[in-house]
Amino acid sequence: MLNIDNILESLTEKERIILSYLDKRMSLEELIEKTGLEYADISRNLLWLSNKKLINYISKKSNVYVITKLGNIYKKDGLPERRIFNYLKEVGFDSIDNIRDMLGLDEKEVEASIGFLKRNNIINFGIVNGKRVVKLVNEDDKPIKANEDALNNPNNANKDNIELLLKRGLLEKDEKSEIEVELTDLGNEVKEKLSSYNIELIDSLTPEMIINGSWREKKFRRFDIKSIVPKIYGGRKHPLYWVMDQVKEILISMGFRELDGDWVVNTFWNMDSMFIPQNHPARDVQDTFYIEGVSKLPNGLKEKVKQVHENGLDTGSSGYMYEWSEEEARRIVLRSHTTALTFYTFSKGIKIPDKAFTIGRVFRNENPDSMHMPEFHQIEGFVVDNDINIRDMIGYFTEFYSKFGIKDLRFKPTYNPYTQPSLEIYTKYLNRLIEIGNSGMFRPEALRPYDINANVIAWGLALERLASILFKIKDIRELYGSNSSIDFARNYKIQLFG
Amino acid sequence: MPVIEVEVEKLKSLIDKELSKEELEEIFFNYGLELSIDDDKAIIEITHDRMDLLSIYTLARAIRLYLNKEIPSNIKISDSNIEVLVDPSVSGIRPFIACFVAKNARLNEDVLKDLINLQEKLHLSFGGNRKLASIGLYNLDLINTPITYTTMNPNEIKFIPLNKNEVMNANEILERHETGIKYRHLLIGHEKYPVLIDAKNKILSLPPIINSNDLGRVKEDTKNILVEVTGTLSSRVNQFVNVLSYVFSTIGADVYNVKINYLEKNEKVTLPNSKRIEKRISKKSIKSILGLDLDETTIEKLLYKMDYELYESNNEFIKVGVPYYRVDILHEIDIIGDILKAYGLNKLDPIFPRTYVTGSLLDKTKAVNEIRNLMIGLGFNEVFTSSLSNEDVQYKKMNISNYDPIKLIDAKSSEMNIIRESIIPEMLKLISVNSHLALPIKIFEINDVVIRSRESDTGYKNSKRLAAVIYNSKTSFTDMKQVLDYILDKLDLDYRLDEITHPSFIDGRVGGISIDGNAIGIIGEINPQVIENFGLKAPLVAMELNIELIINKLIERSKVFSN
Repeated sequence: MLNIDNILESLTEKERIILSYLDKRMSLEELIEKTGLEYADISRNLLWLSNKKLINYISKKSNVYVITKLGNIYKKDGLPERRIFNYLKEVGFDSIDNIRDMLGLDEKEVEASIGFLKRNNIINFGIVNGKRVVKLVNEDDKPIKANEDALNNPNNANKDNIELLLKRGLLEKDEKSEIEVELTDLGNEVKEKLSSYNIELIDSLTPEMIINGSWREKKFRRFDIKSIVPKIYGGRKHPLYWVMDQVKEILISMGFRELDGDWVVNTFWNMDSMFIPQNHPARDVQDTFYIEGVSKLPNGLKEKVKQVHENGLDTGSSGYMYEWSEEEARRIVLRSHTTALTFYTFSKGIKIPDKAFTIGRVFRNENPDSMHMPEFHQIEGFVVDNDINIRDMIGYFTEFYSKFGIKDLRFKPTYNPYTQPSLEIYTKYLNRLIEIGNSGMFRPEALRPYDINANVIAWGLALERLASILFKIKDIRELYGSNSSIDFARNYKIQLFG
Repeated sequence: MPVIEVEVEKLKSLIDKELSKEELEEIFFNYGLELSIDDDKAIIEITHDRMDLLSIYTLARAIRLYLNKEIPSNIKISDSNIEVLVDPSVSGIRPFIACFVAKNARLNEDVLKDLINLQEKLHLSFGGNRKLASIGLYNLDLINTPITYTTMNPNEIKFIPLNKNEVMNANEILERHETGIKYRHLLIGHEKYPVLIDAKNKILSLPPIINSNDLGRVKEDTKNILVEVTGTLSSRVNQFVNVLSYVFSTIGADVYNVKINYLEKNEKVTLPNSKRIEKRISKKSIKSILGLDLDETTIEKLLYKMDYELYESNNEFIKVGVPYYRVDILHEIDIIGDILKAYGLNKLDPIFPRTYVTGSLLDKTKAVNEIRNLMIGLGFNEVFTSSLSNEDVQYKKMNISNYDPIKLIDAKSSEMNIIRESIIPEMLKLISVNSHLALPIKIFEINDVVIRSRESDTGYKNSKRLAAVIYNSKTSFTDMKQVLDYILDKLDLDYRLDEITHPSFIDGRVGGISIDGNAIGIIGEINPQVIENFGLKAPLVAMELNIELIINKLIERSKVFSN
């Protein structure tokens, strides 16, 4: 049951004004005119009144008159009857033919105007030398003015004038739908009580009211707490960084320390250092971004890398049986995978056991599409331990992905020049198996230059694929990059993981 | 990765007609190959180690073995007694050659198509686009042996090249023949070009460019074939003849070896040799890598699925015969990888993480996170712009006329062909593609740019930046200076602001920021010309700080504190 007193207490000053004027069905224009309020105030307050069920909106279709093309010309140049009137005021009298030529008017319009002026006793007819002439007999132009008013404001004019202008094709009928409002029964009830309701309501509580205590004598206006408020946007993390932070938190909880490295590296660190052969297609400029310049190679290490490539050094491997070129290893690239950083870290010396990770940006020479970007991130990780095997690695993936609610993992053998065994990680997304990472155990040839005598399992997981799954994104370009969506970054929904 | 295409029905007929599409996909997945079926076509990506799988016949054989529908067998190669004489003059240009003969090859349209595809993929993916090794096939019945591999003056090398009907010399071939044009860079600059001639001085080919239309033309009715591989990398040349002879044997031809006689060294090599290569694998390694205790019978079964033979087994090790075509086997680890493939990766039980060490974030990350939190607290939305950009966005639209960007060589996308040196232009680009949004847009990003550096081995290094932009119908210098004040105050750092001029900003409303005399950034109102250039309609204020110094100061300070 609606409580009338509560409603009365909830009315704004402007709602009250509207109610007091609304005594019949009214259009917005009428209300504006009567209340003196602005259009925005009227429409906002009407909406609130309607929410309180005090008024109904009625959509009304009405006939309106609109000015035609010819009407518009006359509006600008003056109506023919006005121009004839002015002309005759100057010359007294003239033949109709002459008037038409002098004023450049249409014959039909001249006839209609002359007829109109005659009917209103402004002019008189006569025949002189066989020609029809007219003479001004009355200088009162009120009837002409009435026609002009009708043309200027057709929806507020005398019916006869309207008819006349319609006939002459200066106006035409059109249909217009208009919103009107009327009080409901409840509205009438409230309006009745309103006249005797004279308690002053507080709209905004002010410091002054608190200091002088005046709020005690007043009532607070009730707010419609259900009404819709304008949206605001707070500061937030970008969704991809948010995912990165989640990943970092999980990896740290799993005992991994963080690493960091530069984007520009030489092919030695990007490829040679980990036993990628120098004739491998991934080195092609079609796949990797090269940059001008020549770099320095680490002495001591480069000799070992050379030997392990050429003949396997003392690993029991045949090596690639080619001649390793220092020049090829000096070329400069944007790193194409974060494994470059892992091997750089090896070169600085590591203890056993050790677990480390980086979430690093990598680059591939590709055109952007819905699944690929030339720059993206890998979650690189490695575990060095004496007693660690491929089943441990699957254990890490199972644990890591289950923290994101991804339980259905599939593994596919693959080939990487620097790992054996090598496996790709897949999961089902949008009813398809998609690759979410690549991994393996580093080959003896890859580890030999760094004198690491333990098993090392390692992986590069696709950060953007993970983010796409978590946010159900179909086009990666929406998510990040200089063409991405700020709206998405402002509005992505919170999920808890880990 | 090299891709081969085959009709699904054809593939099934070579493996097992009863297999469903899903079963086929599953099998290939577990074998480590990506198979996608598009209507009646199967498209298979071959990994870059397995050049022996580039023919559908050997691929199907590998799968039949994997499914226990076939057992390992040895490839028989007999002596052909054909000799190839190698003239010392080839050593400066294309020193290596290996050949074999395939007799009674039952070629049909399918087989020929497969062989052509196989050659193309080998050339492209493993032959360094013919530089390292290249292949030629000839009609043996038209050749008189011995064959000589030598060099000649280009204008003396005259023959009708494949698919032409006029005699051309080598210069003309390199100038006019489409294959000649494509590969001439491999020969041009040498005085003499390599050539293969038979005992009657008939030219077989101009390797690695083109065969003769006469001797070097293999058709469906060609019964006996000579296969030749020349190259600059001896190991690759030998690998190619091993793989090719295996393919010919698999399609049913009788394979014969050929003796290569290097005249200079008086060294004779007979290739290919199909004898399995013996490898010893310690049982400890198998267990250590796979985490599986496999008994001898299981290991033997798994080896068979991958075409290995088990020669010997004791407590310590197994001795395995590796098929001669498996040129990818460098180390015992590769055989262990194959054992795992045969076992099935998806059958492995995961082991819960057991290596215990403690985890930690880098100090740098912690410092960055603190700055991010301050910016977010001020109501800024974090954004993520591209680090790859173009001159238009980084400089031209920013009113900057003097620039020297770090360029990417042969970048595919013209939108992304340099590395950014500033983040602000990317943020303005981002606002321009999001300009339909309600104002204000207040955004920030903490990320890296790349700068030139003498200290680094490459000459380049990353530099961490904080950039912030406000885009609003009403905003001014003060709004951003408040942000700067707030951030640096909370980091407990004093800074200095000096008037500077910069073409991207309004004169008199731009400042250079420094800490302890080190210039670290810029702050100001964006020049209306720049606003227009990005198609924007409201004022913009922006700042960008190099925060490397700030981060280092924070880290040093906390270290002092913790001591």
